[in-house]
Amino acid sequence: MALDTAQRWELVDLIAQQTVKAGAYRQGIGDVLGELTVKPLTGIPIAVAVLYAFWSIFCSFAGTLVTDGFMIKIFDGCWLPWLQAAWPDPGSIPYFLFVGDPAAETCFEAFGVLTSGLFVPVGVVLPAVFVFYLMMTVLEDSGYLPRLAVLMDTLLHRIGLHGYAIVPIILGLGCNVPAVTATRVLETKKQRFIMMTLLAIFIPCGAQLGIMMAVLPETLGWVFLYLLAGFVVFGYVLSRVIPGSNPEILIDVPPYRWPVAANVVMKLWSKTRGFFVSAVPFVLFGVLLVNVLYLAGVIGWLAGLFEPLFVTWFGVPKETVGPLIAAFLRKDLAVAQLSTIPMTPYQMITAVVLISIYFPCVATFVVMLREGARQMLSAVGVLAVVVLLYGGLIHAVGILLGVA
Amino acid sequence: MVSRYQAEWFFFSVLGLAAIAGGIAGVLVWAGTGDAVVFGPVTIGGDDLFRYLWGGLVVIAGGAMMIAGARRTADLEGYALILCGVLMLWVIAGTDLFAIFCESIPAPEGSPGLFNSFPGFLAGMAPPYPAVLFLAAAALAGVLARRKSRSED
Repeated sequence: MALDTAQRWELVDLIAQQTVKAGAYRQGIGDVLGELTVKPLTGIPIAVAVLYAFWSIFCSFAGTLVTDGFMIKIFDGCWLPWLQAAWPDPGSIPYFLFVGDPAAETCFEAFGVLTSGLFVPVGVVLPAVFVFYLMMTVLEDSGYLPRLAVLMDTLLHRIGLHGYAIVPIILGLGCNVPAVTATRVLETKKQRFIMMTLLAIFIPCGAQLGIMMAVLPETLGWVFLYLLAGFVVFGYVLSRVIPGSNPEILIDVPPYRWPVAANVVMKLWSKTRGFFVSAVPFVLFGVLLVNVLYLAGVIGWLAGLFEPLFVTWFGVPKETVGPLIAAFLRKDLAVAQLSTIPMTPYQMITAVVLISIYFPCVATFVVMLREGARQMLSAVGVLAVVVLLYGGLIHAVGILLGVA
Repeated sequence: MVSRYQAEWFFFSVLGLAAIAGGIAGVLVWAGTGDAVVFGPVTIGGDDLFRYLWGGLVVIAGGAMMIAGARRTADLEGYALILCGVLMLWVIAGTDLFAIFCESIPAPEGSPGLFNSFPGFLAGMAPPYPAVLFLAAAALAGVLARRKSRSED
């Protein structure tokens, strides 16, 4: 039997009388803690501590325990020697494509489809993505993320965004694909364009973070510093140049609550499985494609063509062109390739920053295209200018510091 | 006769000052102004930017919060500040402990197996644990805050 509007409201009143209890509000310790995490004077140090914990746990679990502790031993100690012995004819093209360098002692160096192609996503990236999504889910379900949005609102307004842009930023540190989709929470076209462009250029994904941690743990802080500085500077420039408004938002801040284990497990499984299913084929294909291009001499030709730009303007070896091609498919693969090219530490920092700010991986490219072809092309245009300008600036800073 | 509030003020103020001093020491040692500082079971200082600069700033902020809260132990906000400050110290100590735990599980380099032996694991996890000091302070701060919260109900 259908109820009319008045009857529905009567039913609501009846249910509320029987179930809702009214009383005086008394502030508890949880409420006060919630306020402290939102006020800038206390909230910012707390946010710094939360991010410290996030990063420390990420490095300890993914880097020290899983990748260095187990995966390297399994892949380099067992898988690679077995594959090198079992695959016939080390001088053949299939051997080069699928196993890689017959003299390689690590899967990183070998660069075959079945060596690097499996080691990068399974041995390095998967533990990183797993622990990242675990911690992000806990922060989300505990109610901390909306408070972080309130805290960041003033800062993000200076670059044409508002506090809720922290959600795509944090998502982007896991994977840029859901982060680009999450830009829909922003209200205006201007905000969505700025966020999408900054995501594609300055936010490294979890896969990249995992590989960066494995390849250059000592100088990772400098890479982040350059990316953060670029994010702020270019965000500010874009907010001044792009027409449009930057309205305020209202955020519903929930009370703090303990995350429910079943929800955390479900979200973690969904995100990790999605990453694994989408990432592994791209990495395998990426290694195969780059190896084919090497054999065909295309990489060498491109390296020669772009040598003036790479060596003079960016200050990196011309061999970096190979990883930059791989970066279109998978940025983690590109950073792994960089580790095999002889470079000074500053050149490595520059090359890793270039790979981060260079063209987004093809998965992100596809999602950006889905959000709007015109926006995507505009973002790519901005990206080309940023890569040229910022890459040159990093080289100039290195020259001034005497390290480049 | 010292009142309860005075005792709490003294305890958390001293802890806060010690935390600020430790944080500043860590930052200065990282910046290269001196050698590592050894204070009983605690060694402060190294060249790790993340641990000693970033971590040092977190410890300094935690100490400052404790001192700010210790001045206001008559109300709930004071206890909440103290609890936040202690938890921030526990973030540093807890993540250090977790890092030690993660290092102790895999077999050492050059060993044939994947997992560390049980004696090897225990040796890696051996004390001293400076974090235990912060655990005591965190537990105390938590109990006092909860008691204050209930007394205001």
